[in-house]
Amino acid sequence: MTHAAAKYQIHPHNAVFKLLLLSLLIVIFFVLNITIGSVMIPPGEIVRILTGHAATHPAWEGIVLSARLPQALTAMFAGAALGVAGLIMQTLFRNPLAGPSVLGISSGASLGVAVMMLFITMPAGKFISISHVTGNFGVVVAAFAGAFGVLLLIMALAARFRSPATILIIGIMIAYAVTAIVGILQFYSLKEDLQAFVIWGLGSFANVSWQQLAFFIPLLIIGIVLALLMIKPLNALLLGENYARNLGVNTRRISLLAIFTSGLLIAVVTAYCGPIAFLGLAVPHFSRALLRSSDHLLVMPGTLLSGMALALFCNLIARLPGFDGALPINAITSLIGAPVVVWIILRRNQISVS
Amino acid sequence: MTKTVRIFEICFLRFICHLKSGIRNFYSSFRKIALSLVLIVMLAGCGNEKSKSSFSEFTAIGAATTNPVIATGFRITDGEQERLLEIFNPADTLHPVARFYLVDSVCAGNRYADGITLEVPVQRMVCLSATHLSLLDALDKMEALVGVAGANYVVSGKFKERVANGKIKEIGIAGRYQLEALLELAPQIVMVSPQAGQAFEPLTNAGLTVIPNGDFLENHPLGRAEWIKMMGALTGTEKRSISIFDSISKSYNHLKQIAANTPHRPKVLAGKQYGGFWNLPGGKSYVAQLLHDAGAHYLWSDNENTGGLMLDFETVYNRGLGADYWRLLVYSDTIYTYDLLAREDGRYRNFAAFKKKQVLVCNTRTTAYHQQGLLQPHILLADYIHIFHPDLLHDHKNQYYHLMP
Amino acid sequence: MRSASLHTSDLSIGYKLSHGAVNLLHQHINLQLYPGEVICLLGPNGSGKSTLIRTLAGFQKPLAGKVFFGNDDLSMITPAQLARRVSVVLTGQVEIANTNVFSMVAYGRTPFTGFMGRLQPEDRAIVHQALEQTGIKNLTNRKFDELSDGEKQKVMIAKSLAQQTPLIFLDEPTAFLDFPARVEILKLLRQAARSAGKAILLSTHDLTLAIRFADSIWMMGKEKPIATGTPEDMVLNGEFGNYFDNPQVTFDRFSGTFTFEAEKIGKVAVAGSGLHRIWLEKALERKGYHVVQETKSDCHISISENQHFVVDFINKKWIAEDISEVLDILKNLDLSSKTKD
Repeated sequence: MTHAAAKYQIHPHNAVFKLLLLSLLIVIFFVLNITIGSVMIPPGEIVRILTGHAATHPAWEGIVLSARLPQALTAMFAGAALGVAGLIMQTLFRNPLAGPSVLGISSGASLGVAVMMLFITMPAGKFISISHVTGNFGVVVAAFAGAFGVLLLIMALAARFRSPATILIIGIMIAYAVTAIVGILQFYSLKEDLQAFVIWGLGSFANVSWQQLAFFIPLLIIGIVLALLMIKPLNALLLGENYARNLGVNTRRISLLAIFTSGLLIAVVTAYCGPIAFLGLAVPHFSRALLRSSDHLLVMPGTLLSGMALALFCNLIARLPGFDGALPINAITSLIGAPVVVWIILRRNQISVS
Repeated sequence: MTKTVRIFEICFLRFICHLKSGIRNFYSSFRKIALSLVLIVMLAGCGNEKSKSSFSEFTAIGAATTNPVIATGFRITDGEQERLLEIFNPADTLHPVARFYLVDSVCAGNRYADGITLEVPVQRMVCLSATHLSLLDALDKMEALVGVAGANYVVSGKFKERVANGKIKEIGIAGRYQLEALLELAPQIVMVSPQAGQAFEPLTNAGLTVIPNGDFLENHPLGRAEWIKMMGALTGTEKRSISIFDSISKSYNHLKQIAANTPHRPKVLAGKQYGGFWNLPGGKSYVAQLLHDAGAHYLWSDNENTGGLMLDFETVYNRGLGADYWRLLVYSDTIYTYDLLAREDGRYRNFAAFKKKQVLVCNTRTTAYHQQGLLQPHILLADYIHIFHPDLLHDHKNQYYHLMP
Repeated sequence: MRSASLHTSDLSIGYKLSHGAVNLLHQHINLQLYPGEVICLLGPNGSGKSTLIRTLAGFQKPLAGKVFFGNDDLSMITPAQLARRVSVVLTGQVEIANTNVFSMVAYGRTPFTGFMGRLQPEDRAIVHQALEQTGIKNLTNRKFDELSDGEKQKVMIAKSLAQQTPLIFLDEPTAFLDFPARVEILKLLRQAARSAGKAILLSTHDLTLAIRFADSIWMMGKEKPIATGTPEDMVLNGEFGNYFDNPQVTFDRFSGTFTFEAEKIGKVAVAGSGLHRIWLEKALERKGYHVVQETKSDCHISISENQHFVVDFINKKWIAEDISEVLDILKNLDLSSKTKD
């Protein structure tokens, strides 16, 4: 009996150790992201640049300060945000395969961008493309509009249909519908507009400038703080909606808040980076497996940290020297994320058999 | 339980989609290879067999050679009774991907098994790429055109007039076609630009003759222009096509000579970022050739790529920060300015060319670059020389490239 | 007079359908639930047992009328307050990975913990107490998803106890369990009611156990008012029969069980006493034989002193060692034609 109690006591310390380890990994990956790139810059020079001294080669200053640093920060916050959004959705919908793209929010953002690029600007005879001026800002606004449009639709439906499964299915259907609409728009569009859209759709952490980070990071922090405030009710929701309600959780309010929060996180990341595949789905699983817990008090910070670490790792792999023209980030996240999905499915089957 | 399984299934499908997009990303990195592959695959289906039987009367087409001197994507060989047009993948100039026998009139006696026998001059043709209209326009053969896809910005007055009269039908946009509308026109040939992602099998399956025009795969600006000879051979205007090309070639080489001995070659950067990658022309591309011939030093001239490059920001930043000039191709409905460029990415301000206000830009929306540039490499070259070496070419008035205001 | 932990006043339960239509299951419900009582909610499938529990627990709104917890109107109680007044154990399994039994029971402390849900020493003490009360202290560190159904149910009950509410509602808590586990669960609940003065309402299909354990029974039928009373009274006044009787099933007031009217294939007379006689009669009835007085049948079965069965048919005699053999013997006899009237 005492042994059992002792075992229970050890558990949280063990988890705290793992969280510290994750933090250390983030620091290491962040430093590597700053140090390693397609251009070789000696570490001494990097330290000089970071401490405000002039570099031997003027280009290096720009590379470190205005390319590597903002990109690493973007990756870090995008990874954290997508992971947290995925965790919230997996708990809310009690579905291990729920993720940013499943609710149709990523697709909504895509639709916003597609509508803007192919629909609003084209008939007016005004061409706006990412390749062009208005580019980034217009894309951000359009992605926001699209993502929140889908979000509001889902929130309205969530108030009408209480069953998470129904909402999940509706989300999936919205995603398909949006994909179809985007496909139709693409079909009736000119190549130039299409190219801008396709490129945005590839996803990248490299497009967020310091000025944009000034919006990007605070918006994501708002979302992440909201998520941290939901730890207790999210835990109760693990037992199912009725048990949660019986434990004093205002399930309706929490559901709406959870949808809003995950939507905000996904919309911001998608608007600035394009749709990033798999991170949102894979990171919460990684965190749960690492901490061997479902308790959001552990898993939420775990997801936050492992999202950062994983995104930095992916960004590092994509930019390893040797690939002069860096690999697309989605190729890397998919390569890491896809096995996770397979693992979930296999593990699920195993449980249902035994 | 079944619901869960269903959701798994749906999610799994979405996951496959993600995988696909991942693969697509790789795909676009190797665009050039992909294009070549498409060309090969597409044309493999064109090799229709036709039985060969006895000869009948045949009028020789003429002795003057139309065989290209610079272009590598096609070859024209005059036979005794026919003219053989072969299309090649630039990567493999030994094995043609398509063969066409051009004859005065098709009859039982002159059908060839190893290619498609085609009666010239072609009276009814459809162009799926608006780029090729400039060839017809230059050859004054617009009446041979019955259909086109994506002609919103064609500048030719004759073309507009014939569209207005209903003599030319629009059968789609930007390389996409409506098959039935196209079939109704009963064209003798359909000229296409075999880009990735487009399928022409429905056309060949419907019995139409598809002629791929690979001008955009040529690595030399004159090679691109030389494809006018193919159009000339098809429309019975080979003499005119030869003289047009010769005059282009002469102007070009003359200008090239002017710039060849310049003591100072300014360093040139090209392209800008798209979705996290800096897209710029390869070191052996036709743009690199133009820049070289204009007496400039393209910073990636040591690169062996003939297509486009996708590099990450820091690679380009490292090499291009101190470039004297920066060449851009943009698509904008307003005048493109430094302000607009900097709004796209603030880091552009750090480039020396930006600071020195030496960014040259061609706006493909407001110039006829895509419509006529193909046949005006000499004007492109003159534009460049005029910008890089103003004292070498005093009187030239730039048509495509301008220093940004 | 004792004051009720819960009472309803003219409650109507059911579902609102689309287009404003209403599926009304029961109306004018006036029930009371007192501290220290275990109440079994009985009724056939579809009679509205779950709907009643869901309505009382505040999961769905009443169509009309009110539910009172003490003197407080349920509709005026906030979710947080309600969580301290009633706890539930719901039908259907909770699926949760990576969570041990202690954490599951600790969920019961959710209404009492702070913003982040951290457990205080007194919360831990209450959780340990609940584990002890339900006899699952040895499972404390086991993973919940590795437990048997009965163990899981006990964990959920421990969670309810840890919630320390005066009322506990359980929707079919014994549905997936074998007989000993059912008895154990009901004993546990009765113990909780007796010692802590909790009012416990549980729905079940298990009539025998309901009669055995319930202080009071609420009987729901389709399109009938809800009947209430102590189990024995309800047996005596025939309420059970009224609510469950249908042509195939009858309630036997002597045994307190339902019997199936099988088609009679013959008459048999039985002599003897004790357990052997009782179980022999059960077996015969199950097979469709009508057990009659000695004079009414040619077939007599008596129980010998060494507990063998002696089958006597007209002039023949067989000795069977167990009931199975008796049934084999009877199968070969033509009882239907040779019976006297």
